[in-house]
Amino acid sequence: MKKIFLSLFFMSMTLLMAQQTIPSVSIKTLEKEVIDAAKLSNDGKPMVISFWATWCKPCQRELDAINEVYEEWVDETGVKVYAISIDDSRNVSRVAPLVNGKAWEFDVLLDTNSDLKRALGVGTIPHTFLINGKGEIISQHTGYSDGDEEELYEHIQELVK
Amino acid sequence: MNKITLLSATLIGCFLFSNRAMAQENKVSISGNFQGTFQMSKENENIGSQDVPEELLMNAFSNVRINWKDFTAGMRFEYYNPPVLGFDRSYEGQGMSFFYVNYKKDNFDFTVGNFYDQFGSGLAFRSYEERDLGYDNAMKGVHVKYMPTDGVQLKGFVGKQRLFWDLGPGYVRGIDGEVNLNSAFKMGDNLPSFDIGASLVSRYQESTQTLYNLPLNASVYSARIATSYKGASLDVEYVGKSADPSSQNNYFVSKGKALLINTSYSTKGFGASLSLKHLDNMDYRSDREASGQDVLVNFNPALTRINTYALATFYPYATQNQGETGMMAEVNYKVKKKVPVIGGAYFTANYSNSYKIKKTVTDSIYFADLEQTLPIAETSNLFERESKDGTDVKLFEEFYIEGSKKINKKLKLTTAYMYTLYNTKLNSGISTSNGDIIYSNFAVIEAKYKLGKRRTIRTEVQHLASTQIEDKNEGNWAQILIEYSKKGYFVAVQDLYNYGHSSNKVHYPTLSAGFTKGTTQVSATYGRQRAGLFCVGGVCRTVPASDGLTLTITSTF
Repeated sequence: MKKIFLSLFFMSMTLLMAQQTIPSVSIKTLEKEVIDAAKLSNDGKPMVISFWATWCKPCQRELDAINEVYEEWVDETGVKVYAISIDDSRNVSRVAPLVNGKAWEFDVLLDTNSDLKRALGVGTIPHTFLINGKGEIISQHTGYSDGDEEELYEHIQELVK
Repeated sequence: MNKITLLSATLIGCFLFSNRAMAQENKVSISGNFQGTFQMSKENENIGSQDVPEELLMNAFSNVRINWKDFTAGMRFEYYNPPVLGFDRSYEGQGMSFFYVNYKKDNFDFTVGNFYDQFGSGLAFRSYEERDLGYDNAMKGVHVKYMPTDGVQLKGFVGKQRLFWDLGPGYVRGIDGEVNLNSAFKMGDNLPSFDIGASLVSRYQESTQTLYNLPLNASVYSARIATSYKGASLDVEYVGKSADPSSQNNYFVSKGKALLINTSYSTKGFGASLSLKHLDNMDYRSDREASGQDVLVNFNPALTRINTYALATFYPYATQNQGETGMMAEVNYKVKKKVPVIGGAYFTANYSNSYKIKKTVTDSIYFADLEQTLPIAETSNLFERESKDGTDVKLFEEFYIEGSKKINKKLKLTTAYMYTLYNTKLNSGISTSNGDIIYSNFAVIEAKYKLGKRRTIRTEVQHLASTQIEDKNEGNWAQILIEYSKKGYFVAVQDLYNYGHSSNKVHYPTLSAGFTKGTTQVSATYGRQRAGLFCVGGVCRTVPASDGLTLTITSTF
C-alpha cells in the first residue's frame, strides 16, 4: 500500500512540476529602461543568459570566448545571448564602455541590485542558463573553464535539431 | 492507517488525473540554491592567526523559491555553527532568516515578508545581501510595485531591517517613481532616450535621549535623470537628507547631500567613462547608534575600480560617508585585428581619486557643562575640497593600466601596472610608523596557455612595492600562482611572500583544488590566508589571518 502511495505521490509531483522559466523580475537595458525579464524572447529559438560583472575575470573570459564564435553561432542556430551584468551603482557606469571596448556582439542587460540573480538561485558567477524556444530552462552551468562554450554550443545545436 | 493511505492515494490519483490536461503555467516550479563553507584553522604566530577552540567552523544556507501561477514564495535557511572567520559572531545560530510571499497580477506586484530593492543608484535606498560577506540588510514588511503603463514604474514599501537574527529598531518607509519618456509617450527609437525618477525615503526611530531633542524622523529625497543617445550617456542623481544626528556624525544636526554624475561614450572597440561624486553627511541607518555595516538604509558607492589580482587588493577604498569628493575615469580600447604586432590586443586604463571635502560650520551652541561653544552643524559646497598647507587632502588615488593580447591560438598574455595612494589615517583611523599615507606600486604578468582540448595552464607573477610598515604586514610582497584546469577540474598552487618585512619574512602558500559539474561546485583550499579585506563586488569585510583548510560547496537547483 505504502509503495503505491509513494509511487503515486512521486508521479504526481513530476507531472505537477513545471520546467523552470525566467521569472518576472524588473531589469534594465543599457539605456536604463525597465524591462521584465520574463518577456525576454528569441522568436522560438534558443537563448543563453549569462551572469557576469566588470570585476569577474572568469565571466569575462567566458564572454570573450563566446564573442569570438558568436557570429557563427547565430548564423547556424539563430541563438541569442544575453549577458546580464550584476554590477552595482559603484561600477555600473563602466559596463557599456567595457562591453563596447571589448566589441561584444551580444545584448547586455543590467541587474543592478541582483534581483534576477537571486530569483534564479544564482550563487557565484559566472552562471549560464540555456533556454529553449518555449522559454524553458533546459540546462545551467556555473563557473568557467576553457572550452565550456563548446559544450554549451553542443547543447544549443541539439535544441535546434 | 490503511484507510487513510488508500484515501490519500485515491485523492492524489484524482489530482494527478485532473492535472494531466493542465497547462504548463498551472504547474509548480521550484528553484533555489545551496552553499556550505567549512573551515579549520590553527594558531600561527608568524601570520597572526588565532587558535579556533571549536576546531570546525561552518556557514551554510539554502534558498528555496516556489512558483505557482501568480504566486511566488521564497525562504532561506541559514546555519552558522559557529560562523567562519571574519563573520560577525552575532550570526551564530540557525534558522529561517528570510521568508516572503509574492503575488503578481496584471501590473501589480505585492510582496509580504522579506524583500530586497533599490531606488535609483541606491543613494536613497538599497536593501541588499552579499552572503559571502555576511552583509544583509533585508527589509521585512510590505512592498508594492505598480506599472500603470509601459515605461512607468511606481514602488512603495514599509518595513524594518534585518540585524543578524533580529530587526533594527527603526521603521523605514519609501516611495519611488520612474518614467521612461520614450516608452511612456511612444516616442520614436531614433530619439535620445530619457528616464526620470524621484524617491522619498524616511526613517522613524524612537529616542530615549532626554538631554537632546533628537529628530525621530530622518528623510532622504532624491531626483535622477538618465539620458542616452547612440553611444553616449549621462546619468545624474542628486540626494538631499534631513538632519539626522547619529553616533556616526557625532550627533551633528547637519543636513546631508550627495551628487553622482556618470557619463560615458562608447563605440565598437572603444569605450570611455567619467564619474564625479560629492558626498556630505550621508550615513543613513535605521538605528542612529549603529555602526559598521549594520542596518544601512542607503548605499554610498565608492567610485573606484574593483581589483581582482591578489596583491592589488591590499588597499581597497571604502566610501567615507561623512564626506568625500572624487572622480573616476576609464578608457577601454580594442586594437583592430589588422594592426601589426598589437592587433587584437585589449587595453584598459583607469584613474580614480577621492578627497576630503571642505566643511563650514553653520550653527553652534554653548554647552554649559563644558563651558564652551561648539559647532553642531556644518555644510559643504559641491566639489570643494579641504586643503591643508596649500594642498588638497587626498583620501585615495589610484591609476591602473592593463593590456592583454592573444599571441597565438594557444597563448594569451596579460600585463598590468597600478599605483595607489591610500590615506590610512583618514580611511582606517590608524597611522603606520612610516606616516599617514601608504604608497604602493603593483605589477603583474599573467600567461594562459592552452595545452590541448579543454586543458589549460595559467600562471600569474605579481609584485607589490609598498611603504606600509605595520606589525604583521609590511613592505614588499611577491606572488606566484600556477593553475592547471581540465574540463571542469582545477588545481592551483600559490605563494604570497612578504619579503619586505625587516624581521618577519613570511610565506603564505596555498594549495587549492576543485571541480564543477553542472551547477555544483566543490573547492578546497589548504594553507595560509593573510589578514586583510575580502571583497565581493563592491562590498568588503575584514578577514583575520587563518592557517588551515577551507572547503566550499555550492549548488543551484
